[in-house]
Amino acid sequence: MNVVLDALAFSNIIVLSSIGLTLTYITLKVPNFAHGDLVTIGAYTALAAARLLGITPYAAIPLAFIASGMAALASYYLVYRPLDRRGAGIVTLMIASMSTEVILRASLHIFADVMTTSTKSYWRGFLFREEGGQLTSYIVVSTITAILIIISLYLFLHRTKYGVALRAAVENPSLASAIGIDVDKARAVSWLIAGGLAGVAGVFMPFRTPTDPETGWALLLRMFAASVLGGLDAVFGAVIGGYVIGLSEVLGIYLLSGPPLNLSTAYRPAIPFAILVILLLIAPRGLSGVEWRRLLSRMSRGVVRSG
Amino acid sequence: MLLEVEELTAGYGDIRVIEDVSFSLGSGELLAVLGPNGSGKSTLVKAVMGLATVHSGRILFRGEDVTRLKPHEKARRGMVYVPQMNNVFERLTVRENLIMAGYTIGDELQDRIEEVLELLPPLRRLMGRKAWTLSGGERQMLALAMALVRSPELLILDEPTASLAPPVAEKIIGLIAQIRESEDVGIILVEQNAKLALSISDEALLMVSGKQVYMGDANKLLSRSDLSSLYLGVRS
Amino acid sequence: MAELFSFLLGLAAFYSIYQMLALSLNLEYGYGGLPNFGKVMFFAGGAFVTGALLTRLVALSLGAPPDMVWDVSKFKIYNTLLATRGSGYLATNPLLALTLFALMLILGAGVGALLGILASYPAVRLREDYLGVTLIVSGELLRIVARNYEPLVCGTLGVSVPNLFAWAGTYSELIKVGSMVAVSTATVLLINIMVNSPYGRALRAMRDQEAAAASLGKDVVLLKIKTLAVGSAIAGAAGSMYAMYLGAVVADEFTPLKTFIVWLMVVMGGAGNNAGACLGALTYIGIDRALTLFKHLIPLPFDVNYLYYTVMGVALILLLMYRPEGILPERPGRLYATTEISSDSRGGQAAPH
Repeated sequence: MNVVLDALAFSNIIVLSSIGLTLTYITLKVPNFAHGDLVTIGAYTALAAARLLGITPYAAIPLAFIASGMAALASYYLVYRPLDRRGAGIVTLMIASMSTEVILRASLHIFADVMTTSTKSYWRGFLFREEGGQLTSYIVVSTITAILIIISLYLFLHRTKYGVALRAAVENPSLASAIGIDVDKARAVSWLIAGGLAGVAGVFMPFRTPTDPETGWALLLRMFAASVLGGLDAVFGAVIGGYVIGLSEVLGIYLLSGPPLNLSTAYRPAIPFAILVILLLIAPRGLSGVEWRRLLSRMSRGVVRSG
Repeated sequence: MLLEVEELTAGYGDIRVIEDVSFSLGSGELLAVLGPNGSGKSTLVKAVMGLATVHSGRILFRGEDVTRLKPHEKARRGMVYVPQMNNVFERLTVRENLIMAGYTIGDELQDRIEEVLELLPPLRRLMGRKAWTLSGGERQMLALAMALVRSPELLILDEPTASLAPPVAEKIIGLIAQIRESEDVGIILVEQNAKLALSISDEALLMVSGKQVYMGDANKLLSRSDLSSLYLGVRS
Repeated sequence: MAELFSFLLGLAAFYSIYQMLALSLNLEYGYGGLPNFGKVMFFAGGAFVTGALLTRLVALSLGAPPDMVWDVSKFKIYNTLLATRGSGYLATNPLLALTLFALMLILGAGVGALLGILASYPAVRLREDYLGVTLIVSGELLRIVARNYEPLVCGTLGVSVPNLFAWAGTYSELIKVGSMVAVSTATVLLINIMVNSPYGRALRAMRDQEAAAASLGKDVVLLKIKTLAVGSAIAGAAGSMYAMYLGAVVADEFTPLKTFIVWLMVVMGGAGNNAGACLGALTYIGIDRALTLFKHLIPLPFDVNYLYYTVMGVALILLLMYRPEGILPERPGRLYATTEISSDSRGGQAAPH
């Protein structure tokens, strides 16, 4: 049972960050390699809040949202938008994405080192331990947070005029701007939300893994697997993708590390990797490629026939 | 006079596609722009909207020189362009598409949408459907509706019946005629299907290889056997 | 004076390795339009095979007890000792040492080529963005496997590799680096020949107008496979050299950061131009080595390397914005002129230009 709960907590983190990853991909059609680092920024924001302000990491969730959101926004305004304006192609944007990732991760290292020296405490390999040894409360909080965020995001994107305009702007920028929608602002908001979500995910990361500047980057593999599985054009597909990836990884390695294979748990990343590569080669559109209407009608026809 | 185009020469970048085109359109009139493939029909209307490069000439909208204005500035003045493709938001529902079309309209949006649905009733039962699930004809109707929501003064339709089956194409053309009757709007209709277009137009402009070969009464064009059989595939 | 000399030797050594890497990426991307975001994987392949085999081979020919070599738990502990003994043994056997040097290079190139051919499967089928993700993730997976599968390079501990140039006595560093430079220079010549051959022209045709090249009868798929195989072979050989120069192979060194560095070199120097790739490599390595030398003079509360990477990241972005063609742009003779460093498109309509 514990394994399932741990898998759930792990999945929550992946879901929150993958939604953002899919969102940035839909907006600019470029894979955001820095997304993992946006998660780490959230983790460090929570740590800073805990150590410097004395507040519990949960209370730092809004701060983490802002910090990672701002970082994402900065990368939009300083890197992607200027390059896009200059007519940069996908390869150029990917190189820029890689460079942004290097900048963010190196900056995190600098931050960790500076804070370690100045506060004389370790800012690497930190864990959030809960008082009272209640390991499960972060599972509850992360699950509730994930559900709340998913619902709010859905309401925003489908029930508010601004959210619908955002969807319109990222789908068809020329038509949207002809209508009077500020496509640039829509893109910026999209990146802000994506980064913010990654930051929130980052708050929960140190509850289960010792966290250092590289931890979020290590998670990127799972995020890509989840986003591709859910379909890179479907923000809420990432929700399904995230839970599938998270659960299959934790449960998978639990099963594989026991008899008869006795696989070392260090091979965990192989599971999401295998899923990702198979997906990319066979079904790159992920769940979006499944024709739901046809599937449902075929299934219901089957029911009628046998009835 | 709603729209006056004077000796327009335009194209893409430095490439010249159309030369010395002139015509005018009054409110409530329907002008068909016809011609074989590659004759510059699309380029002409794009240039009028500012989506192609104008090399020389003038475009006057209600007397104002709008030649150098950006597309969205022209849109704000009431010139609405419906492109041939990518003219709806596929992942949004029909209702969301209509709401988006009226993005800049305030409280009167719901009323306006009602009015437009009166003109295009088949859309009513499609309101909850995502645009990508619509058939070609339904999509064109939606694109038309989206243009109408904005209460245009000038409506430019770029090959609305392309890739539609004949009965559907006829229906769309019929709807366009209806729109012309009930709305106070000038329409420029770029069309491959000359016969259909001429059946509802007042005036016609025939383009061949970037040059204006005929501009005048639509019916008279049909009786010009040299032009109509050569360029329009129409037996008069 | 001696310090300057050893600095220059170190510079030349790293330069030769990265020159090969930059040239290989330039071949794949600059000439072939293939965005290889997994460069480190092929580099690692060569290094890992050298790490896995060299010490063991030398130890066996030394007559070391087989279980010390093949039993992983023992090899983990004794590999450094075996490597040192191996160096001593090879010091009296220059012919064997040089043969091993060449052998490792060939093996490294072979493994690299193999990985390159494997990678060409997705490279041919996937769009650039999916390909980029696949390659980066594959590279990381290789690193994770090497880090945990101890029989390969002793996992997190890493494996030591004997010095193949101990026989040259006081001149061993000089001869070692000299050999490396010889290898990299040979690579330069090889690449130049390839690029100016019909193969090279076909490659550029494919890059600039793939559909047109295909219609002219160029087998685009085969071209891509060949290019990735050659590029990865060069990267693998460089990896081998890297392992032999450092004297050790640690799996965790081979991160995507190295891929980023090679991209930086190629973009900075000028993609599509071999001299540019070399210049980019020289510039980066020059600054990197100088920084290593003067690090201790800069008092900072953090490792200055992180600042270096940050600055390099910013530099690459600025380059992409303001000088995408690099310091030495490709010489005219392309099929058509563009100012973009790549004539790729992003799924939308290409603007006429």
